[in-house]
Amino acid sequence: MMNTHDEAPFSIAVALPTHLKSLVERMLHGLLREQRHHAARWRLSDAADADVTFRLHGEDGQAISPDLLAHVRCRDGRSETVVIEGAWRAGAMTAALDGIATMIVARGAAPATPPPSSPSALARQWLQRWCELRTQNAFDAADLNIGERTVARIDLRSATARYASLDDRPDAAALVAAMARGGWDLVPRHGDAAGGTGVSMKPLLWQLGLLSGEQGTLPALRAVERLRLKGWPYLAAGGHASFAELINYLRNGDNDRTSLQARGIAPRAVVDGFLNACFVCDFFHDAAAAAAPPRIALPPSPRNDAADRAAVSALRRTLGIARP
Amino acid sequence: MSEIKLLFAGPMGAGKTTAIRAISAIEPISTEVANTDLDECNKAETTVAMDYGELTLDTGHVVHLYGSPGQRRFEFMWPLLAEGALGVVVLLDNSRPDPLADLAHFLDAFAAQIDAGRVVVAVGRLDTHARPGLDDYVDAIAARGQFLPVVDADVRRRDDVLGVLDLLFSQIESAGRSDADAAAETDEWLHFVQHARTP
Repeated sequence: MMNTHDEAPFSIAVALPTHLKSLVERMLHGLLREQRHHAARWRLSDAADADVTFRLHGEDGQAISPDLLAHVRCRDGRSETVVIEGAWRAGAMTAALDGIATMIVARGAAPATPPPSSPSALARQWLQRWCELRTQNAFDAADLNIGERTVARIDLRSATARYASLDDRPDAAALVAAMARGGWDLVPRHGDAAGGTGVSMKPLLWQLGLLSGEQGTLPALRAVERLRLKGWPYLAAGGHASFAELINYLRNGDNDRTSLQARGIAPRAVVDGFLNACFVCDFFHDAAAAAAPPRIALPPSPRNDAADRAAVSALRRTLGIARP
Repeated sequence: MSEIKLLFAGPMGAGKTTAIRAISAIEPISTEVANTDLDECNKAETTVAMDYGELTLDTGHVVHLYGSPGQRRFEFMWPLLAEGALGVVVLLDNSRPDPLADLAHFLDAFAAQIDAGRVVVAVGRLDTHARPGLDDYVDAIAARGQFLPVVDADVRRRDDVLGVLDLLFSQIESAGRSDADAAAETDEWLHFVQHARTP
């Protein structure tokens, strides 16, 4: 039966050809016997509605693959697919079981959401999934699937990606349009992350963050009490005219979402989008660092006089870089 | 409006002359000579005193564009040139041996301007030399307790130069607004105290 209680063990079913099934089951028995932590958390089952079902990765007829697919049933009825690379190694299987257990509970704890229709809702949903995977800290990589294709292998820790082809490097608008057309998923997996060799995902995350602002701030961001920037968020350059001012107010951890919104610096969606973008790009300090006294001195601004502002306005007009 | 001055600083070969040429209304006056400081940079010619360009505003005022000499032995001149400047653009070259050390020198030289929110750092050649990345620059600046924008720019493209200046101007404008807000809040507090003390 599908596990419905946190304290009950999760059930594993092995849906493989007979000769492989007995092999995997023997391996799992051995693993659970050796590791009490896992023995208390997992049990083998033949039920069709087990919490996780192991299947072959690849064609039935091919030689034994070093990988297995794990179909995970989450509490909310949604299902996830995880690739367990090198599943025949006890260490890989142990790590996979840890990750899957976290996934069952974490996904189950979230309320089911209706499929989003607008680009901002899609962007928000994508970022929520991104934040979940990063927070769980159970997987080091994920496949970005759009439609039937895996378009990128993402290293969750370094936020870098290896795209299947140059054409697959999307901007946020293109990504969201493709997601709306063909459906999408971020499928967590172990091992073979992009590491330092991939392309930084920060520009894409930044755009998705800005786009998601219409839907408010991300749930993970709401849990952050003090918003304090680590440094000047370089992806904000050339963005909305309000960004420079928002950045000034986020230098020393004196503001949160509510106080920023109250200042009326920019429309609510712009502020929330900016905060989401800074959050997913790791531009904010974590809670402990944000609470520490800031080392950054407030600008004394010895000559912020009208003449300087007039000079800047004239320079903007002359150089053709006037801003709305 | 008194004299308006913009300063372009940075090590040898970072593109100060090119950046000034991108916006100057006159052909920049350069003091380029054969480079004898090949240890620091292997370009054929370099600026030994400073570059100078001009931009006439629609108000009739003239903006003086200065490019500081990049050699480390002229370091003493950098803060002098920045004195009274509307803003400072520090250009760095990511292909140099230790660009983060270059950054540290200029952050020291322009500490007063940085505190006033009037400095922007633009890093060139990130496309061919990806390390250190912009996140490394941000970390290095934060470790010093400073806060200023660092962006990627190719000063051979005029749009990039304008983008860096846009950022510098936004800094100056937003600092002005934040100060005004702070002043308004102080005034409100003062009014409250005065009101409370009124018998």
